[in-house]
Amino acid sequence: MTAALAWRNLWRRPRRTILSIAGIGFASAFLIFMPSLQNGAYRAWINNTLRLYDGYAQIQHPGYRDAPEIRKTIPNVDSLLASLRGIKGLDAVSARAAAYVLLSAGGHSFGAQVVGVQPATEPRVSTLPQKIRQGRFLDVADDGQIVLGRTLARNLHVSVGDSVTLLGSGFDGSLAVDSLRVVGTFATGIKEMDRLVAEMPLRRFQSTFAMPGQAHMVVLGGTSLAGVAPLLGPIRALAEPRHLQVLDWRALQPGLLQAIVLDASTAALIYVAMVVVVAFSLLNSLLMAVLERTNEFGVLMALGMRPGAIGRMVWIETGLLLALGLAAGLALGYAISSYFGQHGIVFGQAEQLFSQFGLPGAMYPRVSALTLLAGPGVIAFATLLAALFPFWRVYHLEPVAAMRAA
Amino acid sequence: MRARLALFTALAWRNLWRNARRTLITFAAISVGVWSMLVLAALMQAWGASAFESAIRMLTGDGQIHASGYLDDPTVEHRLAPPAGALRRLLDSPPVTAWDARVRVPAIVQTARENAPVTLVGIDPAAERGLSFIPDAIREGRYLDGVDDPGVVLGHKLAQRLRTGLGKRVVVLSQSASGEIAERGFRVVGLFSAEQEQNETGFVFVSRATAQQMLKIGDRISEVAFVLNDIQRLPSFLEALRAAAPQLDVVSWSEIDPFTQAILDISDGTIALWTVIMFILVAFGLVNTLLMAVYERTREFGLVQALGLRPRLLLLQVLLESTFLVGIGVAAGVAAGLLTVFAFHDGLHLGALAQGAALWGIGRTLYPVINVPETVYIAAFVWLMGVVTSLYPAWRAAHDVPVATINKTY
Repeated sequence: MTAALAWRNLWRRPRRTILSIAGIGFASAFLIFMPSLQNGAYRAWINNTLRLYDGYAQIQHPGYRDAPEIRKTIPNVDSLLASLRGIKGLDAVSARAAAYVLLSAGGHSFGAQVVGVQPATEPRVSTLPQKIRQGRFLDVADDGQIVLGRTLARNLHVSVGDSVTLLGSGFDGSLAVDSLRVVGTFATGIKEMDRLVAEMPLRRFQSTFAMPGQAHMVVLGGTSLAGVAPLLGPIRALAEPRHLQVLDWRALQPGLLQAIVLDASTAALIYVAMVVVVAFSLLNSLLMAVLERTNEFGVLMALGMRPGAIGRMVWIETGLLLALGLAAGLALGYAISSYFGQHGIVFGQAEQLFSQFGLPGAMYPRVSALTLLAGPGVIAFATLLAALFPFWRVYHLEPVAAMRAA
Repeated sequence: MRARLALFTALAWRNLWRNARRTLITFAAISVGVWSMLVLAALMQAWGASAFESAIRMLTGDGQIHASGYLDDPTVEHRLAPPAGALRRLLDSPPVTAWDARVRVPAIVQTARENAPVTLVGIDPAAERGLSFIPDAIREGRYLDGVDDPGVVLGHKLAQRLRTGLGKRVVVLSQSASGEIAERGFRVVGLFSAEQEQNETGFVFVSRATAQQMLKIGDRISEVAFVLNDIQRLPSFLEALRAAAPQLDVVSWSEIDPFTQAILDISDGTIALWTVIMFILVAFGLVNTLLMAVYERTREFGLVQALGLRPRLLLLQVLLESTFLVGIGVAAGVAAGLLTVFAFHDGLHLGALAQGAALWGIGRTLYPVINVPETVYIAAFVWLMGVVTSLYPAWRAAHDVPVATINKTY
């Protein structure tokens, strides 16, 4: 009975009701779409950044991260790899070694970071092998082969088939010299990498740099970041007795998390302002809906309706308004987010920015329970908070005074 | 007419305060909306300005001159003569506040145990003042002194990585003019710090003459970088440079650093988008409020129309009311926005998020500033759109049939 009354009351002013519903709907659709977009962008950012080279986690000598010296190695890396592969669910592990060297070809010399990788397992922890622009990535059978960043290859004036000379210092301080044949060049879009990085087979690296059986890092990959997180415990249990350190993605890319926090805080400021504006707009409608009926409420009370019942009716009106608005917002927000989640949003001018982080030129919003419900939830809370004010007015009405009100 | 307008203005103003609570709530909604637009705009502008400033000072300058081919292959092979004649006169002319001729080539720094690939930059230490970050970035030791200082300045992080420090010797290897490996020992005289780690490990600075001597390139240089007193003058200045040196490659900062250009474009886009979205939200509340204000006075409007007030003038009166309503809301929002930005005039410190900020290409501290044209634009946009939005309620008020409305009861 009260609910039916509330429903009819809502439609005594259809235009106002529809405007309020539209306001709630628009705001909640926006508060679903934007966080979904952020969610998708952050995930893509984290995943693409980590999967390009760093992996979801790494095992290293404790001091290697801060001061990567060639002597800080993981001894007997093959046995560590074998034990790691025994962890259930961990299917992508690969060892690497790295050194700064001078690469020369035909009178051109450039400094580079040469990385020794295991050609068989590297493609499982890194997407760099997919970024080959010319030639091919390293092969299991390769020994004296090398792939170069595109800019590095251009600077050295070499292409596939040419050979380059490597000059560096080995594990024991001896001179490390090698001659390698270029089999491919890669373009990651990240300037620093394309200019500085070269990859060669780990086994050849170990003999060139006089560090047999050793590596500088074991990279852990897999299908998703979330899949690797629960395995960090057992991985630590394996690494720590060997006096090795496990670095998760936050330690590998500390700037990434902060950049996301920074972006999310700016967005949060916007969302709060938005909710406040919506709440104030609604407050006016809700208050009007009550004040213009002061007289009517007085009559109802004189006829024996309790203030509590009238209050309940007002609450139900607000609730219905909110429910309709949120339903519209959820449907709209979900539809828009899912549509663009499938088809992607192309930001023409932002492509340059994205490629710096190794991202494609389109963004895909990603709807989750949190992005779907958090924004509408906050709007509901703010609306109910605003509704306290008209409710308080109703609850304190005096029948006679109310009936006399104009 | 003027007297009539004054009358309507007074009427509209009083009508506004017949329901003070409603008016105040509407003010609040509008001013929070406008406040958020202004604060966001100030933040985005600070972001853009910081990204721009960092980019310019990161050796880019407002523009650069190279030998053709250098940008594709930045080596010692692509070198140019120091600016002379017309080019030199242009660089010494008033719009240029600072310029330097640099040697800039890829190199390797070696210590007994470690080595690292870097970019070797040979500079005129005095000319870099006001041009790049390096003169103000020295944290330990000293800056280079004169164009033939024999020392080297390294980044803090790089020194750490190479396990070297002040007073120690490092060897720099690079390719000389003849294609051989040039090698020279330097004493570390200073350590600098940079906001982005890759810059702290990526560059080493020596004096220009020392670099030229080491690379055996005589008086040749790799690039000229300059900054102007007014960035608006850059396009015409670049044209003048191109005319003076047609065989050289003259480029603006945005061609060297398209990443920063992208940041600036995105920040402008975000401000525009947010202004529109926030306005739509404000508009929902505004239309509702004005419609209510009109509807509850239906009988009054009917009465004044029956007494002979023209619909056109009624429309004018409702429009005047919304002009006041929105106008004061906008004014309050602008005031709050100005105060907020002023509260951060010492800079908004990103503190623990500095590394993240660096990924966005910005410094540790943001300096939000009020951009006057943009503030005026936002305020005018909201005000105008607010009044346009109120056309519908005003039209409703003016076109209801007088007799019918007098008889309406509710």
